[in-house]
Amino acid sequence: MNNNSNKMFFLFILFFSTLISISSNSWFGCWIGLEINLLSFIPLISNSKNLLSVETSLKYFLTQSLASINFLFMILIKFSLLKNFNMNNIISIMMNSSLLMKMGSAPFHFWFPNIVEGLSWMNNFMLMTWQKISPMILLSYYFNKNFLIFMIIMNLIIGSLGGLNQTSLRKLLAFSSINNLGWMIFSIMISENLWLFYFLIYSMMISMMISLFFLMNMYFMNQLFINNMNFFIKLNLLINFLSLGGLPPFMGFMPKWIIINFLLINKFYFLIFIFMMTSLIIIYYYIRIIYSSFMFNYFKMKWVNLLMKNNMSLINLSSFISISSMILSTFIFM
Amino acid sequence: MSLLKTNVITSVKYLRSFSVLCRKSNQDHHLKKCPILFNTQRWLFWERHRKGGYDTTIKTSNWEHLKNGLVELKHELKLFAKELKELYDMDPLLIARPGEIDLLWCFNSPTVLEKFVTTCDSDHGEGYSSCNLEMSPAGRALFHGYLDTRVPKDGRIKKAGYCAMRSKMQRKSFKRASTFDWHLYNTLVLKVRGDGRAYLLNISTEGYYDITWNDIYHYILYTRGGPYWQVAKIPFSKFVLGSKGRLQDKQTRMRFDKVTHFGISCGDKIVGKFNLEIEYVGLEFDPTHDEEFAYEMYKTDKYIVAV
Repeated sequence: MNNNSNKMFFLFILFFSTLISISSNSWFGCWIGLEINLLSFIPLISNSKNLLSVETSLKYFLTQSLASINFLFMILIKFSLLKNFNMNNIISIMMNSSLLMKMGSAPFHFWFPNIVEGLSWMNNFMLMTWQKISPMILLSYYFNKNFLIFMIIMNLIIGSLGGLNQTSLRKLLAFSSINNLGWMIFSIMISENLWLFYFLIYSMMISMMISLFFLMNMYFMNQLFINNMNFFIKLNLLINFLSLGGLPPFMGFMPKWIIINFLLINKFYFLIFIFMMTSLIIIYYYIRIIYSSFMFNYFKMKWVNLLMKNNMSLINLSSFISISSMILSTFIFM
Repeated sequence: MSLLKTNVITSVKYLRSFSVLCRKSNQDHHLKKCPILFNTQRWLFWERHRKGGYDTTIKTSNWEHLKNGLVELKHELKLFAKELKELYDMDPLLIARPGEIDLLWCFNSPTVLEKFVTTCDSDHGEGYSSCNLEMSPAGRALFHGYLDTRVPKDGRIKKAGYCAMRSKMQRKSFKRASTFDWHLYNTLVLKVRGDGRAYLLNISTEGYYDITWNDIYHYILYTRGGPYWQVAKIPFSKFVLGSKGRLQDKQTRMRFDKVTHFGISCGDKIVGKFNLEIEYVGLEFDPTHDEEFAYEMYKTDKYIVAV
């Protein structure tokens, strides 16, 4: 559906709703933005030709509206109990919980891989990047530090362990997204600028991966092994996966480096340990996929013709950006 | 007066268990145990029961339940341990090699037959057919019976005559419902020896919501009579979507990741015996088959609704 004006309309409302949510001066305005976000995202993902996407959009609607109701209720309780500071802890926990559920963060993550499995790549890209902005920023307005640190640990562990036994590329990226949410929540607790930096780089990496999978129409891991991908596409896959895992010298290491720096300076030793260990598990899994695709399952089938001549420049550019952006970014300060 | 009174009471009882918006309701007394609606015009598509209103529960006492439960507990714990071990191994099946058939059910021993359930129209008094699934003299599964299209003469149903076998619901440990995951494959392979009749292959993909509970993908398998086995390789793109036996206008391709049941049924309106011998049912990945869906992939204009 390339020239679909309906999608343009809903996309515009989607962008606008996030801006409403983050720029409002009242909690009620934030809630309105979240609701409009939900309402405009549903037509983008429900495609009546496909039964699976109908089911997915209904599940998305149910979980997100539940979180919205929770959020609204907590806001109203907060307004009515303004002078009672004893309730602040509980209310902040509840509000954070509802926003975490909106984002798909653990322990409210059970809908996320399920729904990601039912969406196309472009819709997944919207869900994994843009839909995280407004809950994140609302989280930064009223967060409970201890609660969020506990949630971060859960996110990291579930994101790394959940992706281990997956054969679907979408679910794999969903668990990777949950893991990265842990990093992002911590970065927003440090500073919003840092979160923005992490988010932009994460969006860039995810967009490179998703555009590759979208062009090759790949949804499952067996498609990685039997397609006749030429060398540069496989190299791009390797670079992007390792960059997503946070391995230097690729682009994905940069935001994680800054967060680790902050953690070390402020002596969060236990947290650093968990961040590192879970990153290792994720990189283990990515390397397993890349090794299999690159070396062990090097099929050259005669019946699969993959013509990627016109799109090679995009792939080469994305590989170049992933490799060199760390080094090039230091030239900003010259 | 008393006769009239009882009639009114029973009709009120039935109305309570059906949707109020239904026009006709059953007033047949022997249907008290299984209140099913026939030939009524429904104004809703909400499904109350997953099994369409047929009462299939086996009544056991609480004490029997407890005893059975304790026996099952050991078995379920073993299954759970097996699942944990699989999770620990982290070695899922990543690729289905072309040309290899991965068998779902190989009917060479009677234990496999327990994974299937046979139903026919005489089970709930809707007809006179009979069917059975047992081992044949050749050592394979034999689905056989007698198909009878005679309609019971009490005016409840208009058509009769079906026999079906269907796989039981896949279960994980502790009786959690699970599904087949066929995303690696694109072809269904069956080795059968039929009697010349046409059988219907049904793949049921019950989803999460009740609108899709009755979605079954059908394919008509024409068998050859005769002593030779036939291997039928049917790509999933050739299956056509139907709901409660009615082929849908809006066709979509099958979802491979959450398949719930596989079944074979006989309902070709020919009165007589039927025999279908099955050796195996398996799956294959055929890389040369790149058809997404065989029916109605064209786009219609926007003013044509519901298609």
